Amino acid sequence: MRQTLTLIVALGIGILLGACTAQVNPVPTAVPTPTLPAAVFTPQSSVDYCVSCHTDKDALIQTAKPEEKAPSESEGVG
Amino acid sequence: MAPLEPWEKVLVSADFLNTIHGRAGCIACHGGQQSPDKDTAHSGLIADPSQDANRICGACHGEIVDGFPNSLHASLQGYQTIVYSRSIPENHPALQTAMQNHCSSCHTTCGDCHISQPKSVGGGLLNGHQVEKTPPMTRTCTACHGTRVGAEYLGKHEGIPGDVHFREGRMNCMACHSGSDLHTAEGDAAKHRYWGKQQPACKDCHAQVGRADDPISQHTIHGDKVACQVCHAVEYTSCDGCHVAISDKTGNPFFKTEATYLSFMIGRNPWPSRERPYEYVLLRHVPIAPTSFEYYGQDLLPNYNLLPTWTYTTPHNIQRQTPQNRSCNSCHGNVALFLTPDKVKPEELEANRNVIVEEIPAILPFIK
Repeated sequence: MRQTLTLIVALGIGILLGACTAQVNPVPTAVPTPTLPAAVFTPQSSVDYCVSCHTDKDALIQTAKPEEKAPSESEGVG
Repeated sequence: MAPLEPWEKVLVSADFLNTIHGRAGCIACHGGQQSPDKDTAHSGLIADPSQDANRICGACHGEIVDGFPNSLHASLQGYQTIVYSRSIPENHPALQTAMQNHCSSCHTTCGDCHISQPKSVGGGLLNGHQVEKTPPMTRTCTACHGTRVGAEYLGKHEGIPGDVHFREGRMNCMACHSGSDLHTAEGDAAKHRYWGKQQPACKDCHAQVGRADDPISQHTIHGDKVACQVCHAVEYTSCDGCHVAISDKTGNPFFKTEATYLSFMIGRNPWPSRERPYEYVLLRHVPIAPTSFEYYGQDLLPNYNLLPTWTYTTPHNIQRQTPQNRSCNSCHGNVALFLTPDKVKPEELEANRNVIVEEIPAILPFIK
């Protein structure tokens, strides 16, 4: 009887230890990882194009569109 | 004021880039993108970022921007108040369209006064994009308010001197019209410029007027019965019969005004109030006609007669001495100065019933 009880307790402990061991050491599975694009060096522009054009009178004279104003049909003082 | 060349309108000064506004960077306010190609750089460009004042200007100037929608410069509410008062709610949508087409170009943004000339005169940077704390008078204020106020104040009418505050004091608009007055309006003043507090009032500077120590007895005699301009302004502009429409040829809005002339008319105060208790004020003929908006619908102003066509005005050509204040009887008994029934068109008599002077102040015997 005592031998049977000792066997059952030993068996229970064995099952418990076995379960813990399985959780601690999961079997790793290979996960496919996407291939990252190769890093490209993109230097930040050192030129502020807005400023360089809008502070350059000659450039503005060259590029400014002439204004076409439709003749007004208004008569008298507004 | 000569119009600016297209390139001149967008030329930014190098000095601007060192200011606090310039350091923000162009794209922060104007959008667009960095590119050497003009079209690409300008894609998504916002020419006047201050149209979205809350986002752009309000980030730092929130205390000003918060009240700006109430200012007449932003809301143009004065037009709406007057036009709707002559109409009925059913006609408001048609009138709203008309005002959108013909009046909204006068709507003012922060940038229209502080950075560029207003769009109504072609726009263009004032001073290389520098933010002008005090807008330059002739390039901003009188660029819009030029026909009447500007011409009167600067003395552009032949034979009529400019305002003494300009001639003698070299005062610009902001000397009287403070930024806080221009940036917002409170209460009734947000509905019409003559419905609220007088901002400015002559007495703000001329505090002695009417007081016991005032050496000019006429000030005390007339008290609050007569508006200051009645004695101290000279002839000013009136207009008749403005009509608006959209051109069949170009699709652009246009107007036609029948007549513009100088006049000087003393009449009864159409809007007496605690702030403006005067019995007599100066009246200017405004160009409204029953058919002013007929392009947008028939009979859009069925209550045309509810408001006068000769209406309260404060001419900007103040003089110390004027023809009517030379002596008591220059004004008293001088029927030419008063809006009597014979000076009003028959079809406008009903509208002006409350402002017509039926009996002019009598000549004062024994006084020159």
